[in-house]
Amino acid sequence: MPPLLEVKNLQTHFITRSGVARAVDGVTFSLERGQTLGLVGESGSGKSVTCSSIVRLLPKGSGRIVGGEVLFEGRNLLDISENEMRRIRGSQISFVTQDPMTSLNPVYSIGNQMEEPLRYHQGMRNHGQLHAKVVEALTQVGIPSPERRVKDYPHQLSGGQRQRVVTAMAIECQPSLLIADEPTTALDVTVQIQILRLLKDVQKELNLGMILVTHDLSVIARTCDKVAVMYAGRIVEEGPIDEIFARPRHPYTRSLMRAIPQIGRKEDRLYSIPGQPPDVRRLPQGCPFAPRCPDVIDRCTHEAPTEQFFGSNHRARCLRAEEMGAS
Amino acid sequence: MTGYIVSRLIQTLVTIVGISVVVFFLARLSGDATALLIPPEATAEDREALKESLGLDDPLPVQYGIFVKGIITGDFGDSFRFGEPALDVFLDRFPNTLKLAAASAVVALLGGVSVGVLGAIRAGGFVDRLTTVIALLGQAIPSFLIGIMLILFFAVELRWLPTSGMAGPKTFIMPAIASAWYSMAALTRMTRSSMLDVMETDYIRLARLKGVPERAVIWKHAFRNALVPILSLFSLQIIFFVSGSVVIEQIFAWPGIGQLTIQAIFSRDYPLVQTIVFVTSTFLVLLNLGVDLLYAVIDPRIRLA
Ligand SMILES: Nc1ncnc2c1ncn2[C@@H]1O[C@H](COP(=O)(O)OP(=O)(O)OP(=O)(O)O)[C@@H](O)[C@H]1O
Ligand SMILES: [Mg+2]
Repeated sequence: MPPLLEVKNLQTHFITRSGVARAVDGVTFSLERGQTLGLVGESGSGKSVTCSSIVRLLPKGSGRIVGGEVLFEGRNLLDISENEMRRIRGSQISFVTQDPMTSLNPVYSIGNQMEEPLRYHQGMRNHGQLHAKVVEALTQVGIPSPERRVKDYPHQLSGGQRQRVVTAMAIECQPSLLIADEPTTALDVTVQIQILRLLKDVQKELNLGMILVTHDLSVIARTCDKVAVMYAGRIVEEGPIDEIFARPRHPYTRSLMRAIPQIGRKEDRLYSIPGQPPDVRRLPQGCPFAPRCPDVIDRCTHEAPTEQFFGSNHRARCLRAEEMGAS
Repeated sequence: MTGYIVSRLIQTLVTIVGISVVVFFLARLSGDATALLIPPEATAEDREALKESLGLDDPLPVQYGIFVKGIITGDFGDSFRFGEPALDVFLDRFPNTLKLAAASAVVALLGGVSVGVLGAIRAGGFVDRLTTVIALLGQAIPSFLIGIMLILFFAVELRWLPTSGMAGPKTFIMPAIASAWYSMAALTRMTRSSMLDVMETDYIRLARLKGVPERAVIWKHAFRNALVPILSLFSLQIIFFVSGSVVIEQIFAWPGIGQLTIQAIFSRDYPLVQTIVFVTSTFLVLLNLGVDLLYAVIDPRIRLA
């Protein structure tokens, strides 16, 4: 059986006035049912564009998928018609988006919005049936007194509750893949933990494949099976999380780890990676991380690193990956 | 919801009282009515007698009291010029104006909204650019010029439509388009920008991520959110359709209140002027109230506040 999701050499570019932005530039990874993949990287590294490309919903006009394959259960989503793609969105591949305060339509009731996936994907028309399904989904995500909430409007709910609603909406049609793009960034810290736990719970319960995008490696450590680190539109390191945390092979991954705040660590200042991520419209020759890399050598500035494999599922894109593991 | 309705009702009532005061005093300020009603060689006594018979010699507050009592009982006095009850004279013409206003409003709203939405979903495309130019032109050309151009082309040149008057649906076409033109251009621009704003929002993206078909994304999710600013503009324009009809009615010889108003003002026909201005304004204020209540239906944040 083919893996749930296999992204191969995906390339998504933005044609802008100031040049072509290679937002996603040859991304490859795969995901099985029941697995959670964490996607990390600094702002602008291409995490969201990667996720949007999987369901082909890029900002209109400028964004274009220019190469690669997105194999979902063996079928290349880049080849199917827009109508077939639409039927997959929200039924087999669902999203939990970043900001629950703005993700729900303010002029329709929770019930109305939650009925949509059922109407459009399962052709359900019967009011009683729809209502029962919606209440069931709301109960599943832990919304108290769901019977009443159905009639409420988004502005009557708290941020955490809204994110639960968005999650409920995402799992109504029993998807096999759930993509959560920074699902907790806009929420209070205590609520963040609840929502992450909720996502993890539904993921287990429905045996979903999940992609969890975050800036926060500590979140990844708690929730994911494997992690892909993105830099300037590429995956620079990928592997099972215990592997990556025990033996990070890429200096960028190591820097990200140093930047995690840890209780009891002696440093008085939080480490942050010096410099700025590169402009994806003008990528340097050689390794794009070289200008900021603490372990840079001469070769890095002119020779583009290729992927090196360590075991069957740990790979890193660094000329010095071999030595890095040893230290 | 009840709070919102009650406060809007009170506002409306205050506005109507305000209108009655303004209407009453404006008519009195515009000059001496008797000057036009009797021949110049009439004596001062004749004049006084006339004033008395018209109730113009009472103190102003008393006259205002009589005016208000008349409003409540539907008696606005007799028109000086026509010698009939002013309200009857007015109501004879008002429906014609309303029919034309309604026709223009429908043209402006349907035209403006459909072209605006089309422009927004094809933003930057050929249709969008074309309509933007037309909309700009629409706002730059005065409506009487549009009216005259329509007459020249469709009535005089092609002979497809009657030049003027009101008889049957065909006669509505040109005056409705001429008076809708400006508003339609403004509505097109408003619809386009309002839709573009909404199409950028997260909830539109989530609707698409849920697999909602594009047609429903546009008309269900986006349009209803874009509607409030469109309606606010439209409710201002309703006033324009009814009261701004003076010029259009003149060009197309339309038997509405436009011509009647001009005649009434020049002949200092107080009762008729008062009736026209008061009933028309009150009608518009009530229409606005209707639109405000419509906002509450459209947007739960207003309804539930
Ligand atoms: N609409 C757009 N037009 C042009 N370029 C874009 C657009 N959206 C994204 N990009 C480019 O794609 C790159 C990657 O953006 P993306 O949103 O995927 O980053 P991200 O990793 O999700 O960052 P963040 O953590 O801030 O969400 C950006 O650096 C930008 O150059
Ligand atoms: Mg992002």
